[in-house]
Amino acid sequence: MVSGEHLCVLYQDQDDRRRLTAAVVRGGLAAGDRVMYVVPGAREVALARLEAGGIETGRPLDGGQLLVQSFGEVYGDPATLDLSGLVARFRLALSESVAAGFPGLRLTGEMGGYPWPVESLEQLVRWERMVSRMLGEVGIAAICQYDQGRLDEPAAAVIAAEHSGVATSGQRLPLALFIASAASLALRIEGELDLTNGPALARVLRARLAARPRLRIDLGAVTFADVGSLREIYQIAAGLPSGGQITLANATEPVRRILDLAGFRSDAVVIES
Amino acid sequence: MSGPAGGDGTHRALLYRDEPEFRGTVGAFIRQGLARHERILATAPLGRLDWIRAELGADAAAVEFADSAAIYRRQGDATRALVDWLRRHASDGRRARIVAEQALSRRTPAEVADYLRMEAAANVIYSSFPVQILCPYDTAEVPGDVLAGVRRTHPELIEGDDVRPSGSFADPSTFIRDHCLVVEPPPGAASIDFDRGDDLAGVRFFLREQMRAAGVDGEAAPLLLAGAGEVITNALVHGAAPRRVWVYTEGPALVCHVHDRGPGIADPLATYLAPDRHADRGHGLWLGRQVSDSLEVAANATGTHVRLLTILRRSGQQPVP
Repeated sequence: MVSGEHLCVLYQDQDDRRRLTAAVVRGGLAAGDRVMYVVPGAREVALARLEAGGIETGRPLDGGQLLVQSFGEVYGDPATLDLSGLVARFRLALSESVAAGFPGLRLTGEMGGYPWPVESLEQLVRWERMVSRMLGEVGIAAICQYDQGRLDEPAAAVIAAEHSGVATSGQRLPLALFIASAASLALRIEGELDLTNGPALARVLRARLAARPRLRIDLGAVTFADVGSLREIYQIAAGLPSGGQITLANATEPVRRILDLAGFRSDAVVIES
Repeated sequence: MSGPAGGDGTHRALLYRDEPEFRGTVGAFIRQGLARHERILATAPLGRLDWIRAELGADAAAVEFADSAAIYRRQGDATRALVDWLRRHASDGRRARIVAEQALSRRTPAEVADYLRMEAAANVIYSSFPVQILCPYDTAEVPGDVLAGVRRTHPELIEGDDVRPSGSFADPSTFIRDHCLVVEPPPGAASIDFDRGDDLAGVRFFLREQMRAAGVDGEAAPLLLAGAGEVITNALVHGAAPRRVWVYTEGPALVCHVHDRGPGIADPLATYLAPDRHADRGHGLWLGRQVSDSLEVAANATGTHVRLLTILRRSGQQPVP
């Protein structure tokens, strides 16, 4: 997703809903972004839904990467209905995300039925239009989740038309997740690093280092890392201000060997045993 | 000397027939270095190191000895070890000498071929250091075709008391290109096509399965996967479609064979050189060389073929002399 993008997903049943919700959150974690998940009901139910969809919520919650919030917490209670109020609210949320070391903020909301304060399709369209303008102005991405069973075909078409695209759950699993840790803006990478997620890696590292120029990266769950990805880490470290440092922690034996054999050396990179 | 300029060094082959010839020349070479306060490293099979110690007597204390079976486990390892040693000992105006011999009889033909290409590359690799390198070869043990390669890869030869330029010395790049020809994969070998970044995860799955089937396990599997992955990424970034990787066995080796239609690497010699630590390219194939027993880069009208060989077992080979 790109910032400012406003997508919607239409789920058919509860299985579909689990899959789609997990895919949306997983996409955010694969980008290293902060994900703000707006839920209509109980937080516990929403978290259980994510877990059932294969998302381990513990670390992202601890690291402040996954925020599960009610509609009222996010939009105000009563909800802001003027654009400037909404923009101000989300500018603040975005600047807080950047200060916390996240490269971007993603918003996903469950619009199960029509949410308060919307009472008609017409009002909903106005609301979505306002959200679209806010997203564009602030520069964040959002995916709205709708229950297709509660919409007739014309309504579904109108809602889809208010979004810049319809997301599907047919994406393959991301190669790696970039999980924020609460401690000292650290980062944990889970999965494989190759040239396809090199740009995501660089974006995440730059954001976290901009917030704090000393970064500990936990590589314990990295199952493959190509030389290009590791070189990216060294090159970014080389550009740090004095006193800046990247610590590579918990690397598996093969990854340590590859770091050694590839011949990267830098005073700004510490390999922790 | 006739070698490349820069480090003011030499790269000589000693073609010896017996122990007295070896001891005489190697002993004189080392003593001359000691007299000039140069750092000395001798790496050879243990029996040869014993000859050197016996020849030098008390002088041996000033020489660093290394078992070539350890330092030359892989050709890439040896280059890295020697370059690291030179960076430590042949800088700050200090000069160095290296005696380097390894037991080629334990090597497969593919490894011996790679060894000779490495000897050609050595003329460039070590040219930036003030080092004199002496490579002894036992003419009773080393086959004639390998000795011919030795003459083409060493600018100077010592035979008996005679030191002379090698008449058949070849330009290193030319030698490497001429001594790495395209080998076609055997019919029916397992293979998978790849054409974009999103294919890489599937290619790694294929490689893991093939390595498991071939019995590659422990630390070797992820390192081989890393080396093969670099060759494949290179084909993706610098090569041209169609691209394919095969995995098959060849004698005692498991071969990971990567092909693309591109013209390949302009100068295959570059794949033998350690990349500058700040370089943004060249680390990938360098890693491939470090984690394999032989890395072959060849091109013809069909495109570029890179073969990464890993010896699965060393049974049935002659013991170290």
